Amino acid sequence: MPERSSTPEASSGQNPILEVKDLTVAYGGVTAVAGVSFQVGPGELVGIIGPNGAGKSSTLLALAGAVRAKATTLTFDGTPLLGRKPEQIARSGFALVPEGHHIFGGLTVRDNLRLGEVARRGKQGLEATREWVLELFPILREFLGRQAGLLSGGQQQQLAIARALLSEPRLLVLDEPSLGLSPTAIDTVFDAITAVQRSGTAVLLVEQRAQQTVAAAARTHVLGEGRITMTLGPADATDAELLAKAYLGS
Amino acid sequence: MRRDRKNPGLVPVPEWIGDVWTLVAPLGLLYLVTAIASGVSSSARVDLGYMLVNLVIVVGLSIFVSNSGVLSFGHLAFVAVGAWTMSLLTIPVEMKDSIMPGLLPVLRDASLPPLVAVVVAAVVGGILGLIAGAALMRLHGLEAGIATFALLMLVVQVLTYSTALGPKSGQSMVGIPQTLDLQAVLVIALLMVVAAWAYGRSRSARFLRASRDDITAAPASGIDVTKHRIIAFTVSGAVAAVGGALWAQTNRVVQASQFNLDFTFTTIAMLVIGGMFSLWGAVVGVIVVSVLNHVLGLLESGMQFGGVIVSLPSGSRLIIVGLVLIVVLILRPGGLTGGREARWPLRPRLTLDLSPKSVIRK
Amino acid sequence: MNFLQALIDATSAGAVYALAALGIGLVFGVLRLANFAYGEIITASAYTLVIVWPMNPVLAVLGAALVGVAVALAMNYAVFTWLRSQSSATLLIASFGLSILLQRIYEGVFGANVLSASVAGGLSTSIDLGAVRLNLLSVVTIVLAVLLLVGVQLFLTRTSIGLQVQAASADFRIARLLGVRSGLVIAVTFAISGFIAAAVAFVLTVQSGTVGPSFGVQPTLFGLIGAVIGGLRNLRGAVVGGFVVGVALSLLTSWLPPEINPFRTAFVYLLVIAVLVLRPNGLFSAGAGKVRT
Ligand SMILES: Nc1ncnc2c1ncn2[C@@H]1O[C@H](COP(=O)(O)OP(=O)(O)OP(=O)(O)O)[C@@H](O)[C@H]1O
Ligand SMILES: [Mg+2]
Repeated sequence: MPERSSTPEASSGQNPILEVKDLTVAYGGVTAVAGVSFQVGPGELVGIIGPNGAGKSSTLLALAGAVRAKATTLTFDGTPLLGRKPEQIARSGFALVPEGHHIFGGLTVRDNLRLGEVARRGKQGLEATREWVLELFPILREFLGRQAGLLSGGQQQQLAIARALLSEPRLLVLDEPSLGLSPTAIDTVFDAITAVQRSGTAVLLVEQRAQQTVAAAARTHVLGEGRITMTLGPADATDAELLAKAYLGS
Repeated sequence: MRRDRKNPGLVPVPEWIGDVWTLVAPLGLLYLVTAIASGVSSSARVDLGYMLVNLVIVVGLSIFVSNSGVLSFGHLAFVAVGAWTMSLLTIPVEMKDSIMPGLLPVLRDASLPPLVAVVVAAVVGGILGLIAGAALMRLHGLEAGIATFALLMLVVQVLTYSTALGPKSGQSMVGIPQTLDLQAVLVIALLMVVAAWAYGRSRSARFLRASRDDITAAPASGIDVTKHRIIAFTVSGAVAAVGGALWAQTNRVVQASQFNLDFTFTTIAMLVIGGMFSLWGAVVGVIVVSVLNHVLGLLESGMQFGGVIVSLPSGSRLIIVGLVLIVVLILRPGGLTGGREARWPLRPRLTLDLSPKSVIRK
Repeated sequence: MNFLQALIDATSAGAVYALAALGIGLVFGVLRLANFAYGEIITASAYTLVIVWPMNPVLAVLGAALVGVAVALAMNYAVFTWLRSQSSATLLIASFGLSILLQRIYEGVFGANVLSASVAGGLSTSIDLGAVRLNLLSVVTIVLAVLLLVGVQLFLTRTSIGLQVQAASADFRIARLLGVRSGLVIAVTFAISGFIAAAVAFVLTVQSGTVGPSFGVQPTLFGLIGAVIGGLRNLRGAVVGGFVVGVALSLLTSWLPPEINPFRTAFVYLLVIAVLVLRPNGLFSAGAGKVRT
């Protein structure tokens, strides 16, 4: 398996906020993730791309404690994640926006956002966070009182990200936030993601939009059949041939 | 196709032996238990009679539940109707006149030999199953459970209050002659097991089980789930009604209020403890719970162990059966049999069978 | 039989079953458990009321509430926690077993016969309002039910835990990913349903003044049936369903001619079957509207 020569280094000097070594996820007899290792440094944006069924969602769900997994190391902020309940992980500053966003359609936008605050440590800074989140997604301010199920797909995705941000996570994990969105909506979402990262929150981004992801992320891991097959840096974003190869596998 | 892992060339048992075994095992076990229990004591013989009756009822219930995967809380409706049929057809006319003065003339005059009455009970149960099934079988899950329960309550209410069909409310039917002995009941019970087994191998039951395993896939594949459920409900109602007829024979006092929640619970507990997705589970469940009940009954009336007399407070039977049910659900949700049919217990036979046909068949 | 009076009686009967449906529906929302043993929570509270009331009415009411909550929580921790990953059907069967088991335990502890005491005897009087004679208990029942319904509604929409209960009912997995503590949410829901059971027990013991081992079975059955025909997946529908069953039962009792009056319960069950056949997803499923997700 040809490793890229220009493999970007993990940010050195600081302890990673997320450290994954040899992560394995199996459903019954089917192995979905077969020994994946990577790191996310504090404030870093790290991408994961790969074809359908590669094991991207499974990886994220394993990190969030939503599916059973094995690993030699799996730590968030130095504390192990394995064996902890999803709610404990969420409350420790790890926010996952799952694939298909899953907002609560029967509740108002405001109540959805309030549910995002459940995982917060305390109330201090809450007003400022609310303000900041609504500035990031101005459309939500307009619809605060509306039933969330009536929002458009793009608006629902924004709501899901906003909801995650209200817990003031130290790591924001997004699973295909651009899924099913129009080009302008995708831009809004990507702008918001870069804004979040610039504010100092680490981001782990799973995407199908390879080019945009590779350009934005410090490192982008290419996942294929449950393994990391390649790791790309921002400079690779313009190499169309390489990106295509990343998807087709070597 | 199961293969011996160590000797991949060996097929453990010819398939037909495994198939026949799923019938022979429950029949054999039943016969064995009956043979043993009838020799133990007279109280054991009494409980044995009830066990065989419950067996027929639970096998009837399992015909529907195990194949369709839909829970029924209402099968006692068929049992009640079966018991009623049996009573009305076998109680002497003079007796009917004195306890059921308001009886419809047809029912008053009807009188049949007990074995024929059992057959009529099956027919009546089947008809009720067909009508109720046609109305209810499009329902799923909890709604189906509640609907079957409503059916039971409806039947019980009608039988309680209708003087045209039975005694005044609160009174019971007595005078049912006990003409079927333990032997006859055993034979009928074994026949019902055979019937359930035969139904389970029919095309209809196979279709239904496909829908049970994947409720969303079956309709798309062209299987008319509702139709096959109605068939199952009808067959199952007929068998449960036979159970009701035998129950009337065995208990000899029949009253609508007997078909209550406790009785419903006992039959469901038997099915679930054994494993609600197989005939084998139904048979094992009935036997295990009945033996447990018998022993607890002895303990309730006080039993001597060495020098100590152990006696349980009355009513502890249902407490313990309830506890067993909950523990089984927690530790082994598939029931004691794990929801499988009986499996050929002997070690692999040396039958080399590598013809492509036998390998492909499931 | 005065029309207005019959209407108020029917409303109060509906209110009791609406409360039972609320208690059952809340737990069903988060756990997908149709708790058949809800009746035994009611019975436990009723025993408390009947036994303690003659000594001290205030203590009896407090005790009944406390016992309702405690029994509900005990059920959760002793049985249902262990079955969380099981199917709805398994949970229902387990609760059925628990119900029968507890009834026998009550029988063993308190005897098979009913205990009686006049609980809040003052409420059994009627007030004369010219043309109408109002049964005070009916009025109290309606007021109590309205208070509890409004209280639960406020709890669900105005408090953080209530919102978490709603989230868990809609999608438990996603709720947990947001940090909603599963154990806490389930326990809180059971506690509230236990409190509501105590309220049902209060109304019913005032009405009858007696309690036996299977005291709670009837209200639970009708509450559960009401909840199912109203649509268990939607709390409001469940409550209305319970209400409808109570009203139907009461109106049939007062209006059916005497020769077929004994069949009133049969009519209710026939009605239930008819509703289920005609509207398999609940009476109010169409009105709820499909929400985009
Ligand atoms: N709950 C499950 N049970 C069984 N198999 C599963 C389950 N979830 C995922 N899988 C399987 O695991 C493999 C990886 O799935 P996963 O959802 O992680 O892929 P993905 O990379 O996120 O794909 P996509 O781009 O389509 O979202 C797939 O083969 C999938 O079929
Ligand atoms: Mg995915």
